[in-house]
Amino acid sequence: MSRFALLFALALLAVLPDAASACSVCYGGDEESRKAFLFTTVLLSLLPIGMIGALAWIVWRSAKAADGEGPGAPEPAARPLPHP
Amino acid sequence: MARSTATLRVITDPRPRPVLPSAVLAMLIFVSAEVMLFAGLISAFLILRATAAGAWPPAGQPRLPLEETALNTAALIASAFLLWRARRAFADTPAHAVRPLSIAIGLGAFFVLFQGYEWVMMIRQGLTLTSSNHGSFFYLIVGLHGIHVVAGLSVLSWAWWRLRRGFLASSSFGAAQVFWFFVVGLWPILYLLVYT
Repeated sequence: MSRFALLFALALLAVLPDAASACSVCYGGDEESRKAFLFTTVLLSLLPIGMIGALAWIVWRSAKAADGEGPGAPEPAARPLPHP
Repeated sequence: MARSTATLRVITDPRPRPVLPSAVLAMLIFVSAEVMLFAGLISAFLILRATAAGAWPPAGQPRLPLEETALNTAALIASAFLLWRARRAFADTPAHAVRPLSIAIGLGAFFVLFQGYEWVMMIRQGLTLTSSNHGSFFYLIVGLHGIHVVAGLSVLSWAWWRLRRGFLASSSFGAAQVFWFFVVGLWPILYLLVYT
């Protein structure tokens, strides 16, 4: 059954080559629209990576700050007092 | 006479402290999702504008109020600055944060009211949700941002109310600040893209 479906799909591609190769979002092939597509592709691709990176950086910075004043750090009152 | 000795016992919580307050982390994740929502809308708007035949905005559609909105943008940015001041004051003396927070909320409310006034003017001039693609995207993007501003104002008002009663947690205030900074930081981008 699946082989029949595959053959049917291939036959459709052979019969309708224009529809098969058409791109639903590739309209207005001028320079400005090409730039817009490129820019938005870059924007939507890099934005999640940038945000994950920024979040990781915030967590790392907070962890570093917490290490400096964590429970292991010496408290001023716990330090031995010098003898008079 | 026996000398009494006092022993000081320090009780420490064995659980590790969270690196980042949960409320702030949750808000950062939520804001990340919101950023992608607006990035999608901005992308759609840019492609529509680039592929539109003729001038943009389309002929017969009114110009957006660039200068008036610049004033409104300044008010919103000032509100973020005052919120930053409030947060710094909160770290030292929480009572001192009430005043800058109140003014920040007032400026945010001014932004929403001014936007509403602008919308009334735009609708009277013929720019509606169905008048053109220009109108559709204007009301969709700017309206969605406006909803976020109203939500941010609600969060800030809640923080103000708790601060006045003296039981505002630092993490809650931090989460509110993250959301408001997102709302304010997004607006200049929208303003430059949609209005110019």
